[in-house]
Amino acid sequence: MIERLHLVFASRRRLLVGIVLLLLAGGWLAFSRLPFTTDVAALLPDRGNRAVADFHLLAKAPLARRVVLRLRADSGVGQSELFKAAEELAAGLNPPLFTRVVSGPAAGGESALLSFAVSQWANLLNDSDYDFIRASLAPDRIEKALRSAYLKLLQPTGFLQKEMILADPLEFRNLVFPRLASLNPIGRARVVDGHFLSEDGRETMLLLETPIEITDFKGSQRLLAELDRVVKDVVPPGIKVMPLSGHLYTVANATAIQRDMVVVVSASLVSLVLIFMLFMRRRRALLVFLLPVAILGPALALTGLIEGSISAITIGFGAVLLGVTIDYGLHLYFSLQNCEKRPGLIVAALAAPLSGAGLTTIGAFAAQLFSTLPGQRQLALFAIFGVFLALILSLLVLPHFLRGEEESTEISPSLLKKRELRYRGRSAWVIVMVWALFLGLAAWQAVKVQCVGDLREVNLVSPSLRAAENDLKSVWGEVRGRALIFAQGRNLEEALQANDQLYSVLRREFALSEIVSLAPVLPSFQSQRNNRWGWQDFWTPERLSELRRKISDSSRKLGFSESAFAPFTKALISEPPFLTESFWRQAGFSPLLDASIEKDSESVTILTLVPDQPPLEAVFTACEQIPGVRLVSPQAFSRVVSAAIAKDLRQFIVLALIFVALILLALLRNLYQVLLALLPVAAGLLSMFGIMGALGLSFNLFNLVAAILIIGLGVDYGIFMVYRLFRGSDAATERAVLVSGLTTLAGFGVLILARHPALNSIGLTVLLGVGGALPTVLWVLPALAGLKRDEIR
Amino acid sequence: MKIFRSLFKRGGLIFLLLSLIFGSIAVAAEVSGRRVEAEKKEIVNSLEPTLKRIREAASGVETITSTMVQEKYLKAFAEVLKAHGRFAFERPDCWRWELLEPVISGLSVCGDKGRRWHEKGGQPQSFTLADEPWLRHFATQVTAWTTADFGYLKKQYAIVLLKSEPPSLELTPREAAARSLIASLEITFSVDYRYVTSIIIREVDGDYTAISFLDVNINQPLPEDSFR
Repeated sequence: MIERLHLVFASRRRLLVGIVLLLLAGGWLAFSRLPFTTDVAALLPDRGNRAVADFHLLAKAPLARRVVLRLRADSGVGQSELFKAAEELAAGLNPPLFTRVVSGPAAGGESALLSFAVSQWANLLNDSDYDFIRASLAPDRIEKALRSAYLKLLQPTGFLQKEMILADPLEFRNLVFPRLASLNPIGRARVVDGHFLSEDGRETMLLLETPIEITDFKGSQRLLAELDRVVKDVVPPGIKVMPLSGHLYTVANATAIQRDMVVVVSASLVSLVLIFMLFMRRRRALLVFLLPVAILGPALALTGLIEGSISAITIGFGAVLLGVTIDYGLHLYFSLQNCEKRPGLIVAALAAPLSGAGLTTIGAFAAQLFSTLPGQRQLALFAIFGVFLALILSLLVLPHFLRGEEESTEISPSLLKKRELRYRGRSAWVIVMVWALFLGLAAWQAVKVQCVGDLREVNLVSPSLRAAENDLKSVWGEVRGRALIFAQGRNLEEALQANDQLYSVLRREFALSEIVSLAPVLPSFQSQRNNRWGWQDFWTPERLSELRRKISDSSRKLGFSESAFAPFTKALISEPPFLTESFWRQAGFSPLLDASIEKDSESVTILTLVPDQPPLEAVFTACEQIPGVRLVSPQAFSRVVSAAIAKDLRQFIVLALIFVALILLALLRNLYQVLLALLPVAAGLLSMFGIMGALGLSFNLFNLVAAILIIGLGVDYGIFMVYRLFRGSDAATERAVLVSGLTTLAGFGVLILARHPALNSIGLTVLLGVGGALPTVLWVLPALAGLKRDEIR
Repeated sequence: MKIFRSLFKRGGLIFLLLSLIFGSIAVAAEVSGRRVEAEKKEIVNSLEPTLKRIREAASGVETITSTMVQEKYLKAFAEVLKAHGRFAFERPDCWRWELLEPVISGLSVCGDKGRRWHEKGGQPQSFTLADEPWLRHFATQVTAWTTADFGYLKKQYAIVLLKSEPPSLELTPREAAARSLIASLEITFSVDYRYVTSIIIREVDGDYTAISFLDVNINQPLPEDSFR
């Protein structure tokens, strides 16, 4: 049928070209109208776990989307100069690039804090605080406390503290003030004059809010340039400014990719030109390289029709994956250079291995339709369309334009005989044994490979960025890697109630200083009411009158007037107003509240931060019991994604091998030949995993995408070689396989030169995989075939 | 009718007398007011030269030692809280504030760091001013008063010259937060303008603290451990 079709179109080439160009143009036009998505969630598993939802929740971490700006003073620079520089820098960072600059809780809320410390006992203190209060009421403790109050008032700073000392002589504020630390999202920060200050007193921090998305390269460049300009204009010598944000990573990654592309494209072009000059040298051969480009648009359009939109990830990786279709053109090209056979016959003879190669590749990609990663599923669908279109064009269109006319490339029978003898007897055994030994070693090392699901692992992290991250952690504590717990309710009160329950669970597992929570300073009204009842029960008239008497006795000895501590004893029985969100906003804590409370029309969510470490496992279970509470841990998230990728990989390899084997069985109907055709795949994958294991490299999402390429290419090589060795196919097969392998290495293997981890991962996979598959096809399959022939004889 | 006439005559007399009295008072008040205004103007006019003179005189002061009497008039105490002690200063920002009676208690600050000690406190405790907001505020004030840093003080306070010889200044806080604690400060300098002889800190609730520096020695070497 193929031969007949070839004959039909041979006399109607113009019509054929017209139809094909029309269809391709229609495909590209349809593609150009498709909506694009750039959501990185396409690379996260969406079946059987909550990775996607967790990913979006993780982005709500207080510092996830902000620019952290550290200002460090040299040894000769004082704290006031540091704060002044921070204030001037903050004043210079304005919209539209910087919408808000937070240097710490706003100054000026001192009176609110004093009120919080000395008048909110009834609302805040609970059963766990009464031991301290009972102990404070002992006569000797009262005498000591009043003596301390006397000494403080005698000090030159006494007038500054007088109101607080007289309102709280027994220092109940020590039960209240430490709670303020729980509002601080920056581990080791102190707050001085409304500024965050590091423990060593040499560093302050600004948190910048910006509308620029972290994934926006151009916007990130503008943001960092503006930041650099303002820093140069405003910050005096002696103060070093160190920014840290996702924007830096974006710019570093995109810049690295741009630089990589220059290196990689140059190396790739030089290699392809060399391959062209060495093996092809005909203008028409260039058509072979146009095949994947031509089908890219239509394949994307077909995918878009089914999916509704196209992910940028599919476009990027799809273009890479379709490189596999060059092989079809190469086989056609080398076979069609034989002028002694009719082209129709050549195409007809190639139809079976070409179809087999195409169908097995489609089978491999079909296995990816069961992936838990939506991006992988879309990619697989796209690749299936792409390979199918490439196959049609290869069988029906390309042959009309690749036909050789100048000379025959038919290899002489004597040369063929000589080649065959190379792979017989002892030499064949040596080849097979060396190969088996290598694969054995590779299999031994392959088990060491770990799957890594953390997308940050495939980010480019320059030494300076890594140092900045480490430095941030050493100076300010764990700021960016904490677990997030969300307490949700239909309104603020409901959310606060869930948050209170959550806090009581967390207090059992973590130290107070490790929890960043609103609960200690803004309990729900329900909790505040409960606390008030407890407080009223505690302060019985007898206890109160006894306290008054003890204070009177002790204070008289120190010269205090009778009414000196009347405000204190009065406050013990008066009912303070409830603590509210607006109280803290008026006290200057809005930036911290905004980082903790998120409101929309339907719900209110309150965020709590805890260290992302082992006790969290216990908290997970407890959190599940509290309605409206959800825990998201970056480490657990990474584990979930890693596990999903590992599962995907196992499932993919098993399914792909089953699909491919079934197609091969249907095509070849010979188990031995099927196994031989699969050997390049096995060798390619084992080489890849084995060498990665030996080098201590981990397996990431990008390796997985490239691994599909290895399976597709490996089985293609295998099929063509099996046809060549056992089914009398064209002797140009070996050359086609060699050139195909070399073009793959030239096209994708050169990505190993890239410094960007993602590109490098693809390059490494292809290099190792094709590096293992190609010698298997060119040497081991002929050797095994030779041994088989020896055996038959 | 006679009665009415008599009353009118007497009333007229009274009216005349009252007019004379109030007229005299008004004239006297006007004259006095003008004099006060003139004096005020003279004082305002002489504030800047006075500050300049104080700044120049104080710039030659490297160290100060003195005894100190502190009197606190607080409603929370039945009697005046009186204390005696010592004060020492060394440029640029080291000072020691020590009470000897009725209790031994003291503070020494140098730059960002300091120490404090109490009669029963055992070993002196070290601290950094960043951790002690009250002390940090006070330390900045002491250094500014002692070095006559009017650049800083003018930002924080409205300054009025109360008296020229010896110069006496009244400082009223500009910021609301400070105004909620301090009504005003009254600082008096020595006749040679070189150092502070007394400070009165007036609080918003009427309480006040008066500190006098006596037996002042200028630019005398200080013991090495004064601020350690």
